[in-house]
Amino acid sequence: MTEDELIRRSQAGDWDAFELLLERHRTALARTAYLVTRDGDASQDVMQEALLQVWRDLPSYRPFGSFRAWMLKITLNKARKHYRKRRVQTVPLETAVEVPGVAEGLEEKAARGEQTERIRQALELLSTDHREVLILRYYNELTVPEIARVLGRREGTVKSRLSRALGRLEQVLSEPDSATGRS
Amino acid sequence: MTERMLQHYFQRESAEGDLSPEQWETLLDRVRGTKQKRFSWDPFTWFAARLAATDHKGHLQPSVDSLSETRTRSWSSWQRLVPTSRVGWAVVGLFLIATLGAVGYAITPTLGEKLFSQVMGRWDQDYKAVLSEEIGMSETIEGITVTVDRAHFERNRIGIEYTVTGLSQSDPSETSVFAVLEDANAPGVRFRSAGGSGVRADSQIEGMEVPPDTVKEVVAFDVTGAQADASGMRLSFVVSVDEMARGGGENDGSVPVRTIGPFVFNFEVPFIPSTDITVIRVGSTVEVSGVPVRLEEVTITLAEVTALIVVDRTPEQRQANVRPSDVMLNVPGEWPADTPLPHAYIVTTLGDFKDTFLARFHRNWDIEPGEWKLAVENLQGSDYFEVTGPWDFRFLVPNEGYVSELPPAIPGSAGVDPGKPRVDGIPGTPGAAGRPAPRYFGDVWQIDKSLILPGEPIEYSLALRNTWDRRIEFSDFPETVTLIRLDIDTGGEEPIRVRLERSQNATNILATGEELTAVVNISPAISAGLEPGRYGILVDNVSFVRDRGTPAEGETTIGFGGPTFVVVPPEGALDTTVVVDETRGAEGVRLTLEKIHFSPEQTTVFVFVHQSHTGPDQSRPDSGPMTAPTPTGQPSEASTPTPATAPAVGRAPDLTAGYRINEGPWRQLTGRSYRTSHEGVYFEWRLGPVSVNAEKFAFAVAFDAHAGTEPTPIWEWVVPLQDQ
Repeated sequence: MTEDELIRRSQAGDWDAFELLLERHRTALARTAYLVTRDGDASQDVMQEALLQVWRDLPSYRPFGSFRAWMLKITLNKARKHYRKRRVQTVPLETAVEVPGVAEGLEEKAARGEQTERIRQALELLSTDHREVLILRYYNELTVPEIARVLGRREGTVKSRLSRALGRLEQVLSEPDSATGRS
Repeated sequence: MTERMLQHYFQRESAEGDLSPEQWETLLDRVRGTKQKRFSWDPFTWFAARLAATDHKGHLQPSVDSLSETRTRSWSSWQRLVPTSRVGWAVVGLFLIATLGAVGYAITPTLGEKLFSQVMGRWDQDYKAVLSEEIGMSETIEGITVTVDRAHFERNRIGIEYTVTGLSQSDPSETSVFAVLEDANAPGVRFRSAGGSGVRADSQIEGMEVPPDTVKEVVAFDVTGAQADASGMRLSFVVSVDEMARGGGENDGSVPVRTIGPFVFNFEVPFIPSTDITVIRVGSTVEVSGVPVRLEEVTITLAEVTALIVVDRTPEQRQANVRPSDVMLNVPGEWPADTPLPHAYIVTTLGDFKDTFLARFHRNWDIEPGEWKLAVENLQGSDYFEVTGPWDFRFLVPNEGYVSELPPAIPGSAGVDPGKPRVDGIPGTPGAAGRPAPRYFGDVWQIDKSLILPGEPIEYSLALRNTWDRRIEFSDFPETVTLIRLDIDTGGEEPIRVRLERSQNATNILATGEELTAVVNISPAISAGLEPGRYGILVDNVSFVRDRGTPAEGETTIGFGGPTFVVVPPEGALDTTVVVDETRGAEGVRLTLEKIHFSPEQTTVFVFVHQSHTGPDQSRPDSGPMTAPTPTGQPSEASTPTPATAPAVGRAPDLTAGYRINEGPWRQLTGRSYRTSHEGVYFEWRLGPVSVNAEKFAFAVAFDAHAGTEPTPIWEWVVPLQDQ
């Protein structure tokens, strides 16, 4: 069954078709939710809210652009809400990496590898907007027009945001003590 | 550099967000548990929505037991003029024909009729064939009015046309409407949904507009098993309306704030559903790309055809929730050229049987006995997992008494079965290895021998055990069974019938767990007339009464396949393997006859269909038509090859094969199996044993004939056998 057919059936209320549709995008959605929230439980909450929203909004969905991008948009919206909640409860960004539960132990660091850890912590120092645009581009491999649709921004804005995000990331990574964000 | 690092990082890190199958199921359960608050009003058929509503959230629907207010239908004076006899209906019919016939061309379908055609089938053929009944009941609660306009009856389906007015005018998505149909004679019995279609103000469908505060819908239900008496059925139609939260933000319309209703309508309809349920146990397995798929059984009611399909999934495939996606039925008889073949409108897992799936087909065609084909076109799972088939199954729907006629819609007419069946679940008790147990009977055969010489008597014994949880009372136990030639298509030849004798102490009633025994006897005279080949026994008309003396009484007929045996040539059979390895090409498609394996049990022909196109030197046909073959490798003037297309990767083309021995008649083979690879498709055709006296064996392959045309063989081989 094609994706269009699954969408059409799902729009018509076919739950089984909807499940099949979700399963095609299951990994991408779950991983995106995790990359944005960096929290397993939170990403599941995000997924649940997002899937419910997808189901409810599906009748009004029209096949302009990719369906995956549309679902990602909803997922990111839900993830932002969680992220906002989390930020309210945490300490300022400058010291975020030192908050227990966010910073990792030495063993985990070793296991992950130093470079991975550096990237992870560097991403933590980026703004949400920058992190999202990097995830959409380099994990979800969306094109700039697709990212523009997901984020509800113009293509030019996306391009400049991408450029700035990459520049900021490189800058952070090139700094000697970037992992702690205390440069 | 940073970009590549990021890609690697994201790929690695994101895996931590993966959900286990249990987490995914839990997530889906949560979403499913709250999803019912949306409703589609686009005029698509949304068969599964209603099924899902019944299956998954029945507890959220209003039930008859919980109703605080019910309404009973009152007939208008006009409705009292409805005739109560066949003569009366005939008079009314003639009057209507005379009156409306002259202006019929000017009548355009009403909105309800258009919706009906979406749900019940094609307008021209179906709508006029059904009985339609004005209901005209309405109820208003808190400013919202629900009106049940009409009920349409067709086969075993009832379509209810209803209208809701007084809804929020600012945003149609702020309301959701649900409807269920229950058996008023049996509180709690809710009929299975069989489709629906509706419109509301924001549907934006040309010609199907409704006012901003209105929704209109036709919902259909399969009422097989409904209780009915001579005057018809008593139904309870229950509607509820949910209002969603308003306001800006992402939660628009997503949160139900209150439920209005239920609106309950009790009425009678002059319709007696058929009691016939036909169960055909198929039990055959096809393997494609290493995935075995089994068609367990097919159930036919007047409303639908359902097929139980088992996929032997690996743990990985189960984790990916691999399941049949497109399932098609190909039925015998004349099928309108512009009408697609029946396509399963829903394929769903079957309760606790994790690897078992139920494919449901709306039945809006007359069933003819003969060979049916069911094709699982592909399997799909998460993240674009897909295995392309098809997995083709063929099974026989036998002859007399098996197929029900359409019941006349008017009670009292000839052919109406006044029985009162009950709603039966599918299937019965759990079976081994996660598969459904036989629903009614388990059959065990004792076979002494399976290789038979012509003229040799054959005797097989059958033990038929009641595996149902209720008593079975036979109303018709066949005295004969059908002998079927399995390896070749015998065309229109009369099937051979042989005796089936029940044991002397056999009774007509089997309690749960009890069994009866019977013996199939094939006399020497019949055996002597059997050509060498493979045969099977089909028990095709076992009828029994369910629940005698209760309101649920009804009759079911089932058939099932018995043992197979091989008739061997009396002079002896070839027992060798001939490696042929010759390739034929036509229309860009190449086939290689790799080898033929002859044995006393069967002959197997191995053919490989190449995936890639060939060069121009192999684009000509190599052989003539099946009825007049030409020498190997020579093009035939009589041949008019069908333009062929190389099979898509992993997909088996529809091929037909035939053979002949010496200068004997061509025989068309029936069965085949295949497995796919990226290089092409391996086919195996099996036929009976070949005599040691055979001098040459010719084999031809053609694409399946299209409607109205003969198969055009485009590949043929002749294999000399003198030296074997």
